[in-house]
Amino acid sequence: MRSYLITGLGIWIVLFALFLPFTYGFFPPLGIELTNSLSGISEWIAQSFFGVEIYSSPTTSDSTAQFAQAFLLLIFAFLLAILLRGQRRFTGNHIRQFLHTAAAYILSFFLLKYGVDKLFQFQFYTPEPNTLFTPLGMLSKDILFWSSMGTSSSYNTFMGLIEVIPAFLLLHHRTRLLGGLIALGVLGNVLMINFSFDITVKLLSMYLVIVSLYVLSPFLKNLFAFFIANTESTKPEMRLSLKPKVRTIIKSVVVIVLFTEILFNYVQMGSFNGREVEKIEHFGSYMITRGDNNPLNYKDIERIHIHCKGYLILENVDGIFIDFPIQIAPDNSIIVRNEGALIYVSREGPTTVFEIQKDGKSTSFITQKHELDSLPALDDSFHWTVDGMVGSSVSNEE
Amino acid sequence: MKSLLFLFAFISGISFAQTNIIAAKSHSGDPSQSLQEKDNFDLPNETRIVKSVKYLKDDCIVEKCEVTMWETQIVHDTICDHPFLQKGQIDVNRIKSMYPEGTIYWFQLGERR
Repeated sequence: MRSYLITGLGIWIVLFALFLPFTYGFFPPLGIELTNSLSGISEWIAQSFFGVEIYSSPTTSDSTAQFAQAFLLLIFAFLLAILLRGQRRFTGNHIRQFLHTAAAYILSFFLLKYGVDKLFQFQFYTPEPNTLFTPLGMLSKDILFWSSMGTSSSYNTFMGLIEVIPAFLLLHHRTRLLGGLIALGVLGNVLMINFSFDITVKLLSMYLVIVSLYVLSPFLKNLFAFFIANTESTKPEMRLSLKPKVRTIIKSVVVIVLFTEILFNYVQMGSFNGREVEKIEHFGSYMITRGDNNPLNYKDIERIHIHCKGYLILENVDGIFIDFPIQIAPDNSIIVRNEGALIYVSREGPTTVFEIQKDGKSTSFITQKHELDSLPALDDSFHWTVDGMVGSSVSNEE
Repeated sequence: MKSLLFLFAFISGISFAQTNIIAAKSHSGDPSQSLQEKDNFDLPNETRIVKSVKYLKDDCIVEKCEVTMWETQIVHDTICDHPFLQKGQIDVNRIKSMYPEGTIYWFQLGERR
């Protein structure tokens, strides 16, 4: 029974990774195709068994269909485990070794993917202009956490390193136990963050904690002997039973392919620091000082923000934000597609003039651009002592 | 020599994000409207805007794309022997049909010589 459980869980780990609708840079979109092929059954399970109305695409992280798919794959996995026990080509030990190695590599891949992304400062970005001007109490916990993380590049580097280090340790059989232990700690923290801040990557983070536990499971006796009983123990052989040369070749190919996927987007972009990338034209926040403060027929607009992903956001005096997708035209004017408007932007000394052309009419307003880097949230200063901190705020006031 | 040059730009369906919900909240958008889009489980998003498509030879085109993942970069792709690019049958409508539904064509300049 225990053997079926371990084999079934190992197969589920591999199936889950294959069916995960992750958008890769180098790998083909196999997970998206597989998820879409199962979407009919997943959504039926979600509606019939869990009684949930479907609002999201099955490829969305933490959609009900994703949870149903994970459940469905668990059933497949245990059926496959029973079938595998019936065959004579591979021994139970071979299957366990294969599944254990596959789980370690899957875990290493995800830790590397997320770790490198933090290390290169791409995951938690500097808060967008509109977020910086949203009162703290008006932000929900997920975007609040994201924004807080985005204000500190040093913490992102640290977080990236503590994900990348276990990822490397997991790739080698001698250090796999240590890698698994660190991974469990790191991913346990990620799981709790996702639950505590209501971030919609709960299923994937639960999966990664399960994979960490699976990687550690053959060594539980060793851990007990080392930490509790203070006795000696022998580690079980979990390496694939292959000729050393064959194993080296297979491992090298797999590692090269994994690293190609992990670095592909950055090499393609030629950028390894998300904070130094060039922003969209007109990026920033502008305070309306004179002229028409009802742009695009929205009343009492106080500020306009240009978001780096191509959005124009209007903020009114009551702190309500309205967003519009935009494109920057070759002459640097702003195209507001949904409103059928074109905005010409010109700078005159410290002011920026926005001229909106819509429905054959032209209106304009004058703005003052905010210095976002001087906002307290983006202040990167560091103080060893409280006196230094108080001293710098006193000198700022002066 | 026959050549076809036309220029258009579109936003493709490749728009996945940190998570759809956080991406939508970051631009003060409506999170519920983002649930039909692909997302990338916490990782950064990418948008791809095809800036121009240029006829290369009988069954090939060169696609010039603006790929943005926090920064914008120009990428060129040569597409040959595509089911929609049969020899002697390349025209604007056939090439347009290669792109996803909902594609927005910004402008188009057709030229044959």
